Amino acid sequence: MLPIAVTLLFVIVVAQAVAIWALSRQVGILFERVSPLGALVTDAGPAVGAQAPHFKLRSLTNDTFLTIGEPAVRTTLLFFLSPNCPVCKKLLPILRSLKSAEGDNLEVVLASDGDEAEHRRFINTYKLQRFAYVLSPEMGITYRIARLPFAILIGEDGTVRAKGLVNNREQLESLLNAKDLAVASVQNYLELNHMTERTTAQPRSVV
Amino acid sequence: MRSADLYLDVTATIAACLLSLVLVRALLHKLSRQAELTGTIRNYRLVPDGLVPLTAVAVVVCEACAALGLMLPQTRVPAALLACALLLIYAAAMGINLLRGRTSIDCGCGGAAHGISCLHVLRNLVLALCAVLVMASGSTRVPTGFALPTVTAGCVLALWFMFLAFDQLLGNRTHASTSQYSSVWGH
Repeated sequence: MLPIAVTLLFVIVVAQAVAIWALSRQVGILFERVSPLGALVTDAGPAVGAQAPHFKLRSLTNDTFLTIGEPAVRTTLLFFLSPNCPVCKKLLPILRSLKSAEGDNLEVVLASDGDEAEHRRFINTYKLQRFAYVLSPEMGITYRIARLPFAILIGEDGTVRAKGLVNNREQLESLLNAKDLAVASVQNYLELNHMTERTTAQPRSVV
Repeated sequence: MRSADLYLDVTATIAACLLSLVLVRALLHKLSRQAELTGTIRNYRLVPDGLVPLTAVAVVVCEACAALGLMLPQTRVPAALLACALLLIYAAAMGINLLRGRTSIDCGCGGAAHGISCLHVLRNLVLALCAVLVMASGSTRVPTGFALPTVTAGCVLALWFMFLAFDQLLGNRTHASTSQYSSVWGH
Protein backbone atom coordinates (compact mmCIF):
# COMPACT_ATOMS: atom_id res chain seq x y z
CA MET A 1 0.00 0.00 0.00
CA LEU A 2 2.75 2.45 1.01
CA PRO A 3 4.73 2.23 -2.29
CA ILE A 4 1.53 2.88 -4.23
CA ALA A 5 0.73 5.87 -2.03
CA VAL A 6 4.26 7.30 -2.42
CA THR A 7 4.22 6.79 -6.18
CA LEU A 8 0.81 8.42 -6.45
CA LEU A 9 2.00 11.34 -4.33
CA PHE A 10 5.02 11.83 -6.58
CA VAL A 11 2.87 11.76 -9.69
CA ILE A 12 0.78 14.53 -8.13
CA VAL A 13 3.84 16.58 -7.07
CA VAL A 14 5.41 16.35 -10.53
CA ALA A 15 2.10 17.23 -12.17
CA GLN A 16 1.84 20.30 -9.96
CA ALA A 17 5.42 21.32 -10.77
CA VAL A 18 4.57 21.03 -14.49
CA ALA A 19 1.42 23.08 -13.92
CA ILE A 20 3.38 25.84 -12.12
CA TRP A 21 5.92 25.94 -14.93
CA ALA A 22 3.18 26.02 -17.57
CA LEU A 23 1.43 28.88 -15.76
CA SER A 24 4.60 30.94 -15.51
CA ARG A 25 5.21 30.32 -19.24
CA GLN A 26 1.72 31.49 -20.05
CA VAL A 27 2.33 34.67 -18.07
CA GLY A 28 5.48 35.18 -20.15
CA ILE A 29 3.57 34.57 -23.39
CA LEU A 30 0.86 37.03 -22.30
CA PHE A 31 3.53 39.64 -21.62
CA GLU A 32 4.82 39.11 -25.14
CA ARG A 33 1.31 39.25 -26.62
CA VAL A 34 0.47 42.57 -24.99
CA SER A 35 3.80 44.02 -26.06
CA PRO A 36 3.33 46.05 -29.23
CA LEU A 37 3.52 44.57 -32.71
CA GLY A 38 6.23 45.82 -34.98
CA ALA A 39 8.96 48.08 -33.72
CA LEU A 40 8.41 49.27 -30.16
CA VAL A 41 7.84 53.00 -30.27
CA THR A 42 8.74 55.08 -27.25
CA ASP A 43 7.13 58.42 -26.53
CA ALA A 44 10.42 60.12 -25.69
CA GLY A 45 12.34 62.16 -28.24
CA PRO A 46 11.11 63.89 -31.41
CA ALA A 47 7.59 62.71 -32.27
CA VAL A 48 6.65 61.09 -35.57
CA GLY A 49 5.75 63.86 -38.00
CA ALA A 50 7.95 66.41 -36.25
CA GLN A 51 10.95 68.04 -37.88
CA ALA A 52 14.05 65.88 -37.28
CA PRO A 53 16.68 67.73 -35.23
CA HIS A 54 19.46 69.12 -37.38
CA PHE A 55 22.89 67.48 -37.20
CA LYS A 56 26.01 67.90 -39.31
CA LEU A 57 28.35 65.00 -38.64
CA ARG A 58 31.52 63.52 -40.10
CA SER A 59 31.21 59.94 -41.29
CA LEU A 60 34.00 57.64 -40.09
CA THR A 61 33.75 55.49 -43.22
CA ASN A 62 34.36 58.07 -45.94
CA ASP A 63 35.42 61.18 -43.99
CA THR A 64 32.73 63.36 -45.56
CA PHE A 65 30.21 65.46 -43.69
CA LEU A 66 26.56 64.54 -43.87
CA THR A 67 23.57 66.47 -42.69
CA ILE A 68 20.62 64.90 -40.97
CA GLY A 69 17.28 66.62 -40.48
CA GLU A 70 17.23 68.66 -43.70
CA PRO A 71 15.24 68.07 -46.88
CA ALA A 72 17.22 65.50 -48.86
CA VAL A 73 17.00 63.54 -52.10
CA ARG A 74 16.28 60.29 -50.31
CA THR A 75 14.93 58.79 -47.14
CA THR A 76 17.43 58.33 -44.31
CA LEU A 77 17.42 55.39 -41.94
CA LEU A 78 19.26 56.29 -38.75
CA PHE A 79 20.31 53.08 -37.05
CA PHE A 80 21.64 53.44 -33.52
CA LEU A 81 23.98 50.63 -32.55
CA SER A 82 26.96 49.77 -30.38
CA PRO A 83 29.92 47.41 -30.96
CA ASN A 84 28.97 45.47 -27.84
CA CYS A 85 25.31 44.85 -28.63
CA PRO A 86 24.84 41.28 -29.93
CA VAL A 87 21.40 41.97 -31.47
CA CYS A 88 22.81 44.95 -33.42
CA LYS A 89 25.38 42.63 -35.02
CA LYS A 90 22.66 40.17 -35.92
CA LEU A 91 20.85 42.97 -37.78
CA LEU A 92 23.89 44.10 -39.82
CA PRO A 93 23.35 41.59 -42.68
CA ILE A 94 19.66 42.59 -42.73
CA LEU A 95 20.66 46.27 -43.05
CA ARG A 96 22.99 45.31 -45.89
CA SER A 97 20.23 43.51 -47.79
CA LEU A 98 17.83 46.39 -47.09
CA LYS A 99 20.37 48.84 -48.51
CA SER A 100 20.82 46.81 -51.68
CA ALA A 101 17.06 46.28 -52.05
CA GLU A 102 16.15 49.94 -51.63
CA GLY A 103 19.15 51.16 -53.65
CA ASP A 104 19.06 54.91 -54.28
CA ASN A 105 15.85 55.45 -52.31
CA LEU A 106 17.39 54.89 -48.92
CA GLU A 107 20.48 56.16 -47.15
CA VAL A 108 21.46 54.03 -44.14
CA VAL A 109 23.37 55.91 -41.43
CA LEU A 110 24.80 53.96 -38.52
CA ALA A 111 25.09 56.02 -35.35
CA SER A 112 26.80 55.39 -32.05
CA ASP A 113 29.02 57.11 -29.52
CA GLY A 114 32.19 56.36 -27.55
CA ASP A 115 35.80 55.61 -28.36
CA GLU A 116 36.56 56.28 -32.06
CA ALA A 117 39.32 53.63 -32.29
CA GLU A 118 36.92 50.97 -30.99
CA HIS A 119 34.37 51.96 -33.64
CA ARG A 120 37.01 51.91 -36.41
CA ARG A 121 37.91 48.35 -35.36
CA PHE A 122 34.19 47.49 -35.38
CA ILE A 123 33.81 48.93 -38.91
CA ASN A 124 36.77 46.89 -40.17
CA THR A 125 35.71 43.66 -38.47
CA TYR A 126 32.14 43.81 -39.77
CA LYS A 127 32.98 45.48 -43.13
CA LEU A 128 30.67 48.43 -42.68
CA GLN A 129 32.51 50.72 -45.14
CA ARG A 130 29.43 50.92 -47.38
CA PHE A 131 27.40 52.64 -44.69
CA ALA A 132 27.78 56.14 -43.34
CA TYR A 133 28.92 55.81 -39.72
CA VAL A 134 28.69 58.72 -37.31
CA LEU A 135 29.62 59.17 -33.67
CA SER A 136 27.52 61.64 -31.74
CA PRO A 137 26.50 61.42 -28.10
CA GLU A 138 24.35 64.55 -28.66
CA MET A 139 22.26 62.79 -31.29
CA GLY A 140 21.64 59.83 -28.96
CA ILE A 141 20.53 62.22 -26.23
CA THR A 142 18.35 64.31 -28.59
CA TYR A 143 16.51 61.24 -29.85
CA ARG A 144 16.38 59.86 -26.29
CA ILE A 145 17.88 56.53 -27.26
CA ALA A 146 17.55 54.33 -24.19
CA ARG A 147 17.82 50.89 -25.73
CA LEU A 148 19.61 49.43 -28.73
CA PRO A 149 19.24 48.73 -31.60
CA PHE A 150 17.00 51.71 -32.27
CA ALA A 151 16.04 52.94 -35.74
CA ILE A 152 14.64 56.25 -36.93
CA LEU A 153 13.32 56.82 -40.42
CA ILE A 154 13.62 60.39 -41.71
CA GLY A 155 11.68 61.28 -44.87
CA GLU A 156 12.91 63.33 -47.84
CA ASP A 157 11.26 66.37 -46.28
CA GLY A 158 13.40 66.08 -43.14
CA THR A 159 10.63 64.96 -40.80
CA VAL A 160 10.61 61.88 -38.59
CA ARG A 161 8.45 59.31 -40.41
CA ALA A 162 8.76 56.33 -38.10
CA LYS A 163 10.93 55.19 -35.23
CA GLY A 164 11.28 52.34 -32.82
CA LEU A 165 13.30 49.68 -31.08
CA VAL A 166 14.13 47.00 -33.65
CA ASN A 167 15.15 43.47 -32.77
CA ASN A 168 14.53 41.68 -36.05
CA ARG A 169 13.90 42.05 -39.77
CA GLU A 170 10.11 42.28 -39.34
CA GLN A 171 10.38 45.21 -36.96
CA LEU A 172 12.86 47.00 -39.23
CA GLU A 173 10.54 46.50 -42.19
CA SER A 174 7.60 47.67 -40.12
CA LEU A 175 9.25 51.11 -39.97
CA LEU A 176 9.46 51.29 -43.76
CA ASN A 177 5.87 50.00 -44.04
CA ALA A 178 4.76 52.63 -41.56
CA LYS A 179 6.29 55.29 -43.82
CA ASP A 180 4.75 53.82 -46.98
CA LEU A 181 1.32 53.67 -45.36
CA ALA A 182 1.82 57.16 -43.91
CA VAL A 183 0.98 56.08 -40.39
CA ALA A 184 3.13 56.68 -37.33
CA SER A 185 3.60 53.02 -36.43
CA VAL A 186 2.15 49.58 -37.01
CA GLN A 187 0.35 49.88 -33.66
CA ASN A 188 -1.20 53.11 -34.89
CA TYR A 189 -2.23 51.39 -38.14
CA LEU A 190 -3.92 48.58 -36.23
CA GLU A 191 -5.69 51.13 -34.06
CA LEU A 192 -6.95 53.00 -37.12
CA ASN A 193 -8.18 49.76 -38.67
CA HIS A 194 -9.86 48.81 -35.45
CA MET A 195 -11.68 52.14 -35.36
CA THR A 196 -12.99 51.84 -38.92
CA GLU A 197 -14.11 48.31 -38.13
CA ARG A 198 -16.03 49.58 -35.17
CA THR A 199 -17.71 52.35 -37.11
CA THR A 200 -18.79 49.97 -39.86
CA ALA A 201 -19.94 47.43 -37.33
CA GLN A 202 -22.09 49.95 -35.48
CA PRO A 203 -25.21 49.92 -37.72
CA ARG A 204 -25.30 46.15 -37.50
CA SER A 205 -25.25 46.20 -33.73
CA VAL A 206 -28.14 48.68 -33.74
CA VAL A 207 -30.23 46.24 -35.79
CA MET B 1 24.36 -1.46 3.47
CA ARG B 2 23.57 1.24 6.05
CA SER B 3 20.51 3.35 5.42
CA ALA B 4 22.59 6.54 5.71
CA ASP B 5 24.54 5.40 2.63
CA LEU B 6 21.28 4.84 0.77
CA TYR B 7 20.16 8.39 1.52
CA LEU B 8 23.51 9.71 0.31
CA ASP B 9 23.14 7.74 -2.94
CA VAL B 10 19.64 9.09 -3.47
CA THR B 11 20.62 12.71 -2.70
CA ALA B 12 23.73 12.56 -4.89
CA THR B 13 21.79 11.03 -7.78
CA ILE B 14 19.04 13.64 -7.57
CA ALA B 15 21.55 16.53 -7.41
CA ALA B 16 23.69 15.10 -10.23
CA CYS B 17 20.72 14.49 -12.56
CA LEU B 18 19.33 17.97 -11.89
CA LEU B 19 22.68 19.67 -12.53
CA SER B 20 23.16 17.64 -15.67
CA LEU B 21 19.77 18.77 -17.01
CA VAL B 22 20.55 22.41 -16.19
CA LEU B 23 23.91 22.21 -17.95
CA VAL B 24 22.48 20.45 -21.02
CA ARG B 25 19.84 23.17 -21.32
CA ALA B 26 22.48 25.92 -21.03
CA LEU B 27 24.66 24.10 -23.57
CA LEU B 28 21.85 23.70 -26.13
CA HIS B 29 21.06 27.40 -25.72
CA LYS B 30 24.69 28.35 -26.35
CA LEU B 31 25.06 26.06 -29.37
CA SER B 32 21.84 27.32 -30.96
CA ARG B 33 23.04 30.93 -30.67
CA GLN B 34 26.73 30.63 -31.48
CA ALA B 35 26.85 34.04 -33.13
CA GLU B 36 25.47 35.73 -30.04
CA LEU B 37 27.60 33.75 -27.58
CA THR B 38 30.81 35.74 -28.21
CA GLY B 39 28.83 38.97 -27.95
CA THR B 40 27.32 37.85 -24.66
CA ILE B 41 30.75 36.98 -23.23
CA ARG B 42 32.21 40.26 -24.50
CA ASN B 43 29.41 42.16 -22.78
CA TYR B 44 30.46 40.78 -19.42
CA ARG B 45 33.70 42.75 -19.98
CA LEU B 46 35.84 40.36 -17.99
CA VAL B 47 38.14 38.86 -20.63
CA PRO B 48 40.22 40.79 -23.20
CA ASP B 49 38.55 40.97 -26.63
CA GLY B 50 41.22 38.73 -28.19
CA LEU B 51 40.47 35.91 -25.77
CA VAL B 52 36.68 36.01 -26.21
CA PRO B 53 36.44 33.30 -28.94
CA LEU B 54 38.75 31.04 -26.91
CA THR B 55 36.65 31.63 -23.79
CA ALA B 56 33.50 30.74 -25.72
CA VAL B 57 35.01 27.41 -26.81
CA ALA B 58 36.31 26.72 -23.29
CA VAL B 59 32.90 27.43 -21.72
CA VAL B 60 31.11 25.13 -24.17
CA VAL B 61 33.64 22.30 -23.74
CA CYS B 62 33.63 22.58 -19.92
CA GLU B 63 29.82 22.58 -19.82
CA ALA B 64 29.62 19.55 -22.11
CA CYS B 65 32.21 17.63 -20.02
CA ALA B 66 30.45 18.47 -16.76
CA ALA B 67 27.01 17.54 -18.14
CA LEU B 68 28.24 14.22 -19.54
CA GLY B 69 30.27 13.41 -16.43
CA LEU B 70 27.32 14.05 -14.13
CA MET B 71 25.17 11.58 -16.07
CA LEU B 72 27.49 8.67 -15.22
CA PRO B 73 27.65 7.62 -11.55
CA GLN B 74 31.36 6.70 -11.81
CA THR B 75 32.47 10.12 -13.01
CA ARG B 76 29.98 12.36 -11.27
CA VAL B 77 32.20 13.43 -8.36
CA PRO B 78 34.95 15.06 -10.49
CA ALA B 79 32.29 16.36 -12.91
CA ALA B 80 30.49 17.97 -9.96
CA LEU B 81 33.73 19.79 -9.08
CA LEU B 82 33.92 21.14 -12.64
CA ALA B 83 30.22 22.11 -12.59
CA CYS B 84 30.66 23.81 -9.21
CA ALA B 85 33.64 25.81 -10.53
CA LEU B 86 31.68 26.86 -13.65
CA LEU B 87 28.61 27.91 -11.63
CA LEU B 88 30.73 29.92 -9.18
CA ILE B 89 32.61 31.61 -12.05
CA TYR B 90 29.27 32.55 -13.68
CA ALA B 91 27.96 33.81 -10.34
CA ALA B 92 31.11 35.89 -9.86
CA ALA B 93 30.89 37.26 -13.43
CA MET B 94 27.28 38.30 -12.85
CA GLY B 95 28.07 39.66 -9.39
CA ILE B 96 30.88 41.85 -10.75
CA ASN B 97 28.63 43.25 -13.47
CA LEU B 98 25.84 43.85 -10.95
CA LEU B 99 28.30 45.88 -8.87
CA ARG B 100 29.32 47.77 -12.02
CA GLY B 101 25.64 48.52 -12.58
CA ARG B 102 25.56 46.71 -15.92
CA THR B 103 22.28 44.90 -15.25
CA SER B 104 20.89 45.10 -18.79
CA ILE B 105 23.39 42.70 -20.38
CA ASP B 106 22.03 39.36 -21.55
CA CYS B 107 22.53 36.69 -18.92
CA GLY B 108 23.19 34.02 -21.56
CA CYS B 109 22.04 31.29 -19.19
CA GLY B 110 19.48 29.59 -21.44
CA GLY B 111 15.90 30.43 -22.28
CA ALA B 112 14.86 33.84 -23.54
CA ALA B 113 17.28 36.72 -23.20
CA HIS B 114 16.87 38.73 -20.04
CA GLY B 115 19.06 40.95 -17.90
CA ILE B 116 20.92 39.87 -14.80
CA SER B 117 19.88 40.36 -11.18
CA CYS B 118 20.76 39.22 -7.65
CA LEU B 119 18.34 36.31 -8.14
CA HIS B 120 20.51 34.95 -10.96
CA VAL B 121 23.50 34.94 -8.61
CA LEU B 122 21.39 33.29 -5.92
CA ARG B 123 20.20 30.63 -8.36
CA ASN B 124 23.78 29.82 -9.33
CA LEU B 125 24.83 29.58 -5.68
CA VAL B 126 21.98 27.13 -4.97
CA LEU B 127 23.01 25.04 -7.99
CA ALA B 128 26.64 25.17 -6.80
CA LEU B 129 25.38 23.84 -3.47
CA CYS B 130 23.88 20.87 -5.34
CA ALA B 131 27.30 20.23 -6.87
CA VAL B 132 28.87 20.40 -3.39
CA LEU B 133 26.32 17.80 -2.23
CA VAL B 134 27.43 15.42 -4.99
CA MET B 135 31.10 16.01 -4.15
CA ALA B 136 30.63 15.69 -0.39
CA SER B 137 28.65 12.45 -0.70
CA GLY B 138 31.41 10.86 -2.72
CA SER B 139 28.74 8.42 -3.82
CA THR B 140 29.16 6.59 -7.11
CA ARG B 141 26.12 4.33 -6.82
CA VAL B 142 22.58 4.80 -8.04
CA PRO B 143 19.66 3.56 -5.92
CA THR B 144 18.25 0.18 -6.96
CA GLY B 145 14.97 -1.59 -6.42
CA PHE B 146 11.59 0.05 -6.90
CA ALA B 147 10.89 2.62 -4.17
CA LEU B 148 14.16 4.58 -4.16
CA PRO B 149 14.51 5.01 -7.94
CA THR B 150 10.87 6.14 -8.04
CA VAL B 151 11.52 8.73 -5.35
CA THR B 152 14.70 9.83 -7.15
CA ALA B 153 13.01 10.20 -10.52
CA GLY B 154 10.05 12.00 -8.95
CA CYS B 155 12.32 14.44 -7.15
CA VAL B 156 14.41 15.13 -10.26
CA LEU B 157 11.33 15.79 -12.38
CA ALA B 158 9.64 17.99 -9.77
CA LEU B 159 12.81 20.01 -9.10
CA TRP B 160 13.53 20.36 -12.83
CA PHE B 161 10.12 21.85 -13.53
CA MET B 162 10.48 24.11 -10.49
CA PHE B 163 13.81 25.30 -11.93
CA LEU B 164 12.15 25.99 -15.30
CA ALA B 165 9.34 27.88 -13.56
CA PHE B 166 11.84 29.95 -11.56
CA ASP B 167 13.77 30.75 -14.73
CA GLN B 168 10.57 31.73 -16.52
CA LEU B 169 9.59 34.02 -13.64
CA LEU B 170 13.02 35.65 -13.81
CA GLY B 171 12.37 36.32 -17.51
CA ASN B 172 8.88 37.66 -16.78
CA ARG B 173 10.30 40.12 -14.26
CA THR B 174 12.03 42.07 -17.05
CA HIS B 175 8.75 42.22 -18.99
CA ALA B 176 6.87 43.34 -15.92
CA SER B 177 9.18 46.29 -15.32
CA THR B 178 9.82 47.62 -18.83
CA SER B 179 10.01 51.16 -17.49
CA GLN B 180 13.07 50.27 -15.46
CA TYR B 181 15.28 49.41 -18.41
CA SER B 182 18.64 50.99 -17.80
CA SER B 183 20.51 52.51 -20.68
CA VAL B 184 22.73 50.31 -22.82
CA TRP B 185 23.64 53.36 -24.82
CA GLY B 186 25.87 54.85 -22.13
CA HIS B 187 29.28 53.29 -21.65
